[in-house]
Amino acid sequence: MIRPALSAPELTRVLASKRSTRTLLAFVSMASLSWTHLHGQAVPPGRTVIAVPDAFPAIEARALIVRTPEEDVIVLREEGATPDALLMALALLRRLRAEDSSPGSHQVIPITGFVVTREAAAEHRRDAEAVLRRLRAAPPVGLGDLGEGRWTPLGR
Amino acid sequence: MYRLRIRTLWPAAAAAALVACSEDPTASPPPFAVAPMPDLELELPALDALRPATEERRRGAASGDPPGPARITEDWEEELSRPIQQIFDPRTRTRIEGAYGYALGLHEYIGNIGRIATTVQASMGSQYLGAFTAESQDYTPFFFDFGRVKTAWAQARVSLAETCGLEVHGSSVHQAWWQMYQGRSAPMWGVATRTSQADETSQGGCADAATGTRKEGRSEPGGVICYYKITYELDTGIIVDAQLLSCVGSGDEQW
Repeated sequence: MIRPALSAPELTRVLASKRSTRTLLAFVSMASLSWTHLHGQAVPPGRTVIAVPDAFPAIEARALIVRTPEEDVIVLREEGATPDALLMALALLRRLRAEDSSPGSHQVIPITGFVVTREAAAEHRRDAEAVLRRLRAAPPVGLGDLGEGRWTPLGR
Repeated sequence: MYRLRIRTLWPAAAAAALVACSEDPTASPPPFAVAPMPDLELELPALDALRPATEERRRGAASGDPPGPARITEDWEEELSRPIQQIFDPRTRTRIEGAYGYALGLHEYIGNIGRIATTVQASMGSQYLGAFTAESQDYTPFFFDFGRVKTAWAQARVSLAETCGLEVHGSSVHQAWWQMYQGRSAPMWGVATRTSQADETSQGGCADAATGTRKEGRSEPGGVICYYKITYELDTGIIVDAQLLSCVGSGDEQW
């Protein structure tokens, strides 16, 4: 639904003014932005998103990291969505970001395996568990080419 | 008093009922409603086709057909099979050198096509971390081969930078056959297949006992993570770059 930036009387008054053309352009662009916000459903740029698809892709991986110019998505298996998996994927994502903070093209990084030899501090594990709880409580929605599933932003 | 109250309240009640019954999708949700989760518009290439860059080495005449022997009918098999040993001394060796773990597969063969697929696998203790396969196929024109003994080899490697305590395993599938010309539909005979396994090679222990046991108390998680990286064009799904399988140590990162 288009949410007009100006009320009808305001618009009428503005249109009648001498600067009507410039203001009309501003109105159209603001209305377009509202349309994009409501119907494009784009995640704000630069965010990290955790997703669990109902059916993980047929690929030999414990998890995937999908990097786009807009966002980084960590895709976990339903049965493998553990704090260890999330923390290790985040550690790898941090390393990848250090190498290339904003990739110009799209990347898929399958994580074929990992071994945790030193657990994170308790508070970080609690954070990871909270994110996973939020993920499990999220309603099922479409995940694009991954099919149906659930997702949640990493931060609140 | 009672009648007055009813008369005063019924328009509001009717309005509330109308609002409740209306299915106007543009109506604002009540303030206590949970915001719906939007779809995640994730666009990916065909993931089941993704794999690390195969270090494929093909020697001889090029062919547009996929590598490997073609399916042949039982009639062809019966007519063209020859009871000759075509693969000699198939073997795979592993080693760790610098920042890489290698598996080298080798065999000698008789036939005008020799093929080998060598896999290097990284693990820690009993935990599998990742594998990478390199393939090689050598072709000699059938009429110029004269039954010579030739060697086929392939080497697979995995990057092991900043890791310790890993093991590298290797295995190969060795093949050789005769074929008039290269192509899936070309008749072939004498298809021989053998496998070989290499002894495990270990990277050695870690200096600070950071591996092998789970320890607590540090702010960041530690361990080893193996991955590969595929770069693709979103519009076409074409893979433009595929990085080798890499295993890296994790431990300096913050949450």
